[in-house]
Amino acid sequence: VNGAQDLGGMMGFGPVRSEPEDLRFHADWERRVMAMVVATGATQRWTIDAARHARESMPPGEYLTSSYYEIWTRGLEALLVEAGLVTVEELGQGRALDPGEPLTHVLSPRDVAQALATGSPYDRPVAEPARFTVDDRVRTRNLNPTGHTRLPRYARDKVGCRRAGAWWLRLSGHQRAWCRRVSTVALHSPVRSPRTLGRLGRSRPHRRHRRVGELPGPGLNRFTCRWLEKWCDRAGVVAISTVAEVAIGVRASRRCRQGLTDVAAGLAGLVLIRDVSRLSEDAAQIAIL
Amino acid sequence: MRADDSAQPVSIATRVQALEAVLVEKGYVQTASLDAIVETYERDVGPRNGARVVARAWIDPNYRTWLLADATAAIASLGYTGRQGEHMVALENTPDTHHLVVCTLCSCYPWPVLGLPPVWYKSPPYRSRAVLDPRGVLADFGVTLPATTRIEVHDSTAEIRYLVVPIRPPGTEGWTEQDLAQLVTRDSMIGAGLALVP
Repeated sequence: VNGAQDLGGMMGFGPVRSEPEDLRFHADWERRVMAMVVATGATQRWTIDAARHARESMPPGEYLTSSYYEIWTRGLEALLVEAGLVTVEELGQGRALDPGEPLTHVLSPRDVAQALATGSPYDRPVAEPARFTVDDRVRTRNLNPTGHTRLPRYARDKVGCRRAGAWWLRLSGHQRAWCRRVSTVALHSPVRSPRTLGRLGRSRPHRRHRRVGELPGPGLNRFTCRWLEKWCDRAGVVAISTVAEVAIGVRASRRCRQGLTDVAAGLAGLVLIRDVSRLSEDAAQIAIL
Repeated sequence: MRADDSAQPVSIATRVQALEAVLVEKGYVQTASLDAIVETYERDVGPRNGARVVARAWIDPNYRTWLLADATAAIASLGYTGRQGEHMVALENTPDTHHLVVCTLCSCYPWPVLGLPPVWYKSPPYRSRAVLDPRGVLADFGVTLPATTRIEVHDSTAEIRYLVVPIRPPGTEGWTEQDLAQLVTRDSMIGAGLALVP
């Protein structure tokens, strides 16, 4: 989302004020909220990117006038409410009004050290090399997603070299639900071949569709990825694939009909990626020159 | 987001207290776990970890090579692993190139080696200007680099976390790893500062 968190390149915030390195917190509540963010993350009810999105969704005015731990507090409250774990009333009253939902993962004190020392690695095995390799000359796409993105505005539509490897964009629960829908819905192909879709995709909705199959299990195959990517591109959908990976940023949902309607509805701008695949933090948002 | 947003403002401390009470009552978090997390990052995990990594790289050419090739493994070999440092990259400063690390979008920072990020790292002045005016930002830290030094700014914004290896100060030949580590400041491992000169 093009929110207040996307600060790169802005002016007027004044000088940077350093502080001593042994100063960890400025108030006791900061300690508690830091620990709560870590501990609730261990419940596995949301992903790190969902947490980022929750913070980035704050109204810009509030974001810019809040301290970082205040932003964490607001983001955590939003995640908890969205996950259905607590209610707004409970947060307002500071007490539980209903029993908690049984969770599969609750961080116990004896597991803290191990959990912190292990972390949660974000790389995933892939069967095929990513489309872009390090030092490829690339141009970033000019995306304006309403969801979480790793591509800040100052870096959009810029030519550069890919420097880093591929990483996974972790989905929120609701994004995962969309992915499941992708795997059953997106494969209704327009009757015309992808080659002819450019004109069609820009002009009017597809009226007839041919079911070309369902995605095998958790994965898209290579052909499907490429086809889906082309289709999306032609239909005004930003599709990004690194061969074994598919990410779809739905930019122009009104242009998506039938095949991707369900995916597109309400998802304008959201960058999606298949649950089991990786999204390069930069490469998925770039086009090769 | 909250019912009381439009009513009387609630102090953030009260708000956080309420949040913790609800989470504990519902059994989602345990107070002792929160205490242990705070203790870990207040007492155990901090920039002295990174300083040891840097000092080791200064005195051990093989370790330096390993660190630059596979920072995650090289850092793990000293016992520093885990949350917010799962995928590490080390950036070596030289007279030709100075690396500066920022997270323009949030606060991505290598916790296992540097601990929790300082407030300035998470705040708009640094996040906005580091990519636009890195020399100006360095000036805020009292650092002036030669005009011939190229500055590379690394925007973390995701899973890769960066550790800058500052230039070893002159006059430290023969120093032990422990003594050298004292010269490695937190800011120098972000690229916002230089190692101390004895």
